[in-house]
Amino acid sequence: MLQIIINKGKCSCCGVCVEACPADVLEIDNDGKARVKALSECIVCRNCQHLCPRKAIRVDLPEYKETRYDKDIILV
Amino acid sequence: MLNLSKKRLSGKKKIYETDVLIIGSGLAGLRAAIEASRYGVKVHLVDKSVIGYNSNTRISAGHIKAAAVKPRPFASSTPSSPIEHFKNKILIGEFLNNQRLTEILCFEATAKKYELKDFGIIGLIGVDKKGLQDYYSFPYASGLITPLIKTCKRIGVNILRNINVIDLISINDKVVGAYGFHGITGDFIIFKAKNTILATGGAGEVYKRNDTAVTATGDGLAMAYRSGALLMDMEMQHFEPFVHAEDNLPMMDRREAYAAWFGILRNKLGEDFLPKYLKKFNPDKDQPFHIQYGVYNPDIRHIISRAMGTEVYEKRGDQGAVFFDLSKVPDEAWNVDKSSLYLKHVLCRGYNLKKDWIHVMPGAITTLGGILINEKGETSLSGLNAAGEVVGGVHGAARFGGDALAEALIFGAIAGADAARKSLFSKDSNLNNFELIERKLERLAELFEKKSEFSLKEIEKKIKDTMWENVGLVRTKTGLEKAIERIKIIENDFNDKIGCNNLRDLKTVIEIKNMLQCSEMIALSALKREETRGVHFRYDFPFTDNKKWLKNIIIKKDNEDMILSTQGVDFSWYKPDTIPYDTDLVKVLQGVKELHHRKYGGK
Repeated sequence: MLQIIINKGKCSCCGVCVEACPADVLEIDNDGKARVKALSECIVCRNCQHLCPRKAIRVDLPEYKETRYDKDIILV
Repeated sequence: MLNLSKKRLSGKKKIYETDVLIIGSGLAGLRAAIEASRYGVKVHLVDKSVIGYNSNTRISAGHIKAAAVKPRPFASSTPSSPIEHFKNKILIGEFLNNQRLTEILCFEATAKKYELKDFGIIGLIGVDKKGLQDYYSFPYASGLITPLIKTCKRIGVNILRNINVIDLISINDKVVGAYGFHGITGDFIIFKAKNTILATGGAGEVYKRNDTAVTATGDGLAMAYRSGALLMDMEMQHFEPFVHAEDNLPMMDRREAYAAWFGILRNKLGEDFLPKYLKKFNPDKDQPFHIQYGVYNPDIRHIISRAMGTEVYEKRGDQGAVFFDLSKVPDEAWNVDKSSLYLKHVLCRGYNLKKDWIHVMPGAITTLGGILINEKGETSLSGLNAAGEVVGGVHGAARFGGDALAEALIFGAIAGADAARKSLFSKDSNLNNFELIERKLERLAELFEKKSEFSLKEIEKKIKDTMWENVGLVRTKTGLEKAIERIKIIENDFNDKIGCNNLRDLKTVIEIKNMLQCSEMIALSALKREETRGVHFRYDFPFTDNKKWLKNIIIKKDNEDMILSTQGVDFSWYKPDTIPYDTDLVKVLQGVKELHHRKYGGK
């Protein structure tokens, strides 16, 4: 099953994952950290996972193997 | 530690001086930045979100349609020559195309597509199992964006993310820059640019059901309108038919799902309704439609969407959607699909598609209308170019699959080159007095003092619901008038009773303002066009009226009013022999059918 796992301890509150989500799945919580708002909307593009500077967020879908295109993402 | 939920405007001001300013960093923006840099000018590429990845390009299927260099028998729906591509595009666009732009698209697509290799893009010209060029060769488009971003960085494009551009700055009808704020630091940003390129994409987000990135709120369309540029055919909004309508599935289509070709669309009564709507396009009546063409055909999506919309409008839908029945899909088709996105999204969330029917309903994708440009990408304002989905006229009233990315790629390059060339010859912009802009920006800061009477999400939802119900797939006079009235009411509420808590709210406020303006443009144009053509379906005028409506609808701002006028289509490039076009469309569809048979062995 699909899961988005956020490690709140690692999260640096930069907001990149929220900015980068094309499906409006994530939002910024009152403490400034990322929070999952609507998991059902997730299109598993993994923008958040690969753009996070601290690797604090992970989209977990064990049934689906990532392609090399999915991983090749850079933050500028 | 930075807490973005409490961050406000800083009051600081930053001024950037540049030759070419590019707003938007999808495929068109990135390509324009690369092309402009080749002229040795200073280029700034800005985006309101992260660069590249929160875009329609990113979530698109990554298909770029271009005529094959050597026509190959199994090259699925790849056109065999540019002229064939062009003629078919005029037919599917139902003659509303700006033919000069369509011609450029078809004749430059191949060259520009192969040129992508130079930027390190691989896998674009994919090879299927038989060693032949394959249309479905490029899973997800991050492989398209990342090399372009790397190229931009290497050649020295100034890249700025989280810049929310609010408006263009124009002096005497010449665009001399843009202003906005930084979404993280809260600084005011002013760009002094010799030339500006809008590459902000479409306005799919104005609809409740959409398959676009959340950033596609029509910012560029609204900005250009407010600056006085001309826009055309805004009623043309393309819909993708097979977007999920289940609560626990994302609104996304099942692209490249091989199995979906064998699916059957059913209404509440369990009827296979599609053949009824396609009877006049169906040359072989003995065979059901989905077996002839494959239901998932990227080239007749607007006709399928129209059929689905009508079923729901005539109350034969279930929960505002129709069923997609995949129980008859042969086992071998599922095996082909093992690694597809279909599995990723549907099967992993506990659906048994061999048994259950699943709800589907169209969702908005490309905005086909947009800013009026000429063949150099120039808009009606000097100093302003536009490229990509934000421009209108390339596709006319409907488009083939794979043409949208081609448009972004080709017109991005053209606009980039033109803007750079002009900036080499133009003097410094005479923008020295920032007083007016500063006053506007200070007014933004006042929003933080006010308390909102409505939540911003609520207003956004109201716009989306209104647009989807009345200006979506099925449009009527009464519905459109109701929508225009409601949008006016929402606009009034929005102007007086809104406040912000943090910078993200401010970003949403600006997006809503743009969405309202785009909604109004779409609804007014749809009300004016009293016929059915391509993606625009008027329930009260169900026929195509070639006598009266071979015209584009042009929108212009006059003081504070939206002025709509019509302009005849220019047929100077290509005029088909017969214009009641049904016979020609059958021909197009027959071609599609043959290609489908060749690819999938006539199943």
